[in-house]
Amino acid sequence: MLTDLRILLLILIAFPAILVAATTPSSLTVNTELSKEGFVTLSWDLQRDAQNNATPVNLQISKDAAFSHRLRELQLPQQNKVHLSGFENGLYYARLVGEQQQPLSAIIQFRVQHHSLKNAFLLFGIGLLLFIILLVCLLQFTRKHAQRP
Amino acid sequence: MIDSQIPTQTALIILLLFGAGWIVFGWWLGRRNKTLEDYMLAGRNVGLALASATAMATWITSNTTLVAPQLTYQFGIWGMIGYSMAALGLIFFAPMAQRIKMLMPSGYTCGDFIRLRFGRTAWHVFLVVSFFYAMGWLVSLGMAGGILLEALSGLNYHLGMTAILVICVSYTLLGGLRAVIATDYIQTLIILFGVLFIGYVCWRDVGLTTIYQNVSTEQPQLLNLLFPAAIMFLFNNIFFGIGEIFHSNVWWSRAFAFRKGLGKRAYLLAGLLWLPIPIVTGFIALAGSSLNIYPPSPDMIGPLVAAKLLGEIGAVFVFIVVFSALASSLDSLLAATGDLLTEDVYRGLLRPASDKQHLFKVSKLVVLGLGLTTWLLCLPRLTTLGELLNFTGAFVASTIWPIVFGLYRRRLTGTFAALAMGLGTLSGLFGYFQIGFYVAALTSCLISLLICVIGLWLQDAQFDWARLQNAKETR
Repeated sequence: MLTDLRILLLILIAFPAILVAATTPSSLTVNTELSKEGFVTLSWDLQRDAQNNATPVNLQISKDAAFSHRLRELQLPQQNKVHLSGFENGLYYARLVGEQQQPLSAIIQFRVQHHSLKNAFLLFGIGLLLFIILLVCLLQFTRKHAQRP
Repeated sequence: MIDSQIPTQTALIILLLFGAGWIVFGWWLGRRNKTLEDYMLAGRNVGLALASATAMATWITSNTTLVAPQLTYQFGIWGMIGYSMAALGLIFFAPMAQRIKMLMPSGYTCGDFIRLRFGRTAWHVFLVVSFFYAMGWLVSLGMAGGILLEALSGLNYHLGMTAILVICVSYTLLGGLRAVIATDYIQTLIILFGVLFIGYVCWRDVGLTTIYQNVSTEQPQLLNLLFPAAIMFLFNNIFFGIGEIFHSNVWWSRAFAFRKGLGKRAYLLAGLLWLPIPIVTGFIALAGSSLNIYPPSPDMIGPLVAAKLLGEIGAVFVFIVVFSALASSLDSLLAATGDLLTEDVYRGLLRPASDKQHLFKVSKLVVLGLGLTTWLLCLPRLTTLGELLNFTGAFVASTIWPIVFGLYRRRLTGTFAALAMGLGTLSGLFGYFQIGFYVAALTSCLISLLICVIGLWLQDAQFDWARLQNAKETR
């Protein structure tokens, strides 16, 4: 009896993992673990049923590993890859789920840490300065050579 | 990978009809080409309407129809505005086109100018820079053809890419610059009408409020005016666009081909008309999340949104518009790069004694060879369009200052021009790999300016402008 209970307990503990393993289309991967631009590409293997139809998947993105508050839930029935943009700073979690919300992949994470504004404004300032120099040069040269070719 | 909007068979039929149409038109126009000058420079007698249209159509390319939506999707508002600022390249080139025609009335290529103005060392550096850029752009256009067909019809990437290359190489080969300019005129009309129509449908069917709400919820950073990477990208794109136009034989060959006194007006008009186009094409990318479109690759967002908005018939329409945009640039680039390779590499470096009739034949073989090389490089689909294009930014931005100072100032010497282009490019590549693709052109332009300023301060070449007058006799 005790052995049976142990087996049952083991099955119960292992069941979610078995379920995931049985239906997981593949490992979900992200192109970078640290994005400085707020965009990432996520990819996975497309699973097909007996009729060769792609298994519909939803991609969930959340800021917590329990996915209690999902930021995005995307229906991607035919895709095995998606490029997402516009993320703010933070740590994000992603996973694939099926139509009945059953997990189809392991949870992966990626961090978005934008470049510092100080660096951005430094480059902006350099760009603006170069632009003004170019504009002034072209205006002056054109005017000068229009008068005296 | 994604629901196709056009049945594959329909896409193939359009492709065949469309391709055959352009090729026959190119052949018909090419019948009048009797000399090298006819083939390469359309007889140096292009009028204002054709001149403005070809400048505009050439600049509306994968940049505007595929990459502008991509960069809006990645960099938001700044991506859209930054892209439209590429029009400044055309606008700034307007007075330079006039000066080029005045200084070199018998010139053929931008390479002629660099060689005569700065000498052979700078010319060699320039040819490397120019060739890298031309191949990068050609490959991006071939890739764009494949991506477009894949996104809209589910046709294999390699088939779409091969089709656009075969079509454009064929009519450029048959008709030369005359065919390129004439097809550009028709393509401009298709593109302008098409882009405005798609933008209108997006605004009407999705609406600004919905787009704003969805983007602010799902992609908040895209609306953030303090988006660091996008702020870095802004001036980078401006200098990339300026560098592309200032150095490329695509624009110089047009300056030589336009009727005397027209270059300035034609480029100014083309720039002003081009300015709003990336705003429209970029805007539709922001509608992606409102329409539940999440692209596998960022460069597919534009055609996918447009095709979803307009349905199957609309997808055909989108296909024709984007295909026109790609073809109008691909043909121009093939022709201009062919000229550069024929005149500067074949005649300049390999066979200086070649006569014009021989060069006429060689120029056709060069176009064919370029098409084949582009096809081979497109096969592996190594990167996204945006990244590929911005990689070439490191090369082209280094040429801005040597060309500006070279056209207007006697002081700059060949040594410093070569150093500015070489070291500018290397520093741009360093920025590309160390920071990101959105700083390559800016870094390259900055270093190039610093070297030119040092050169102007240290040496005085006292260049004689009269040496540019007889471009062909002084090789």
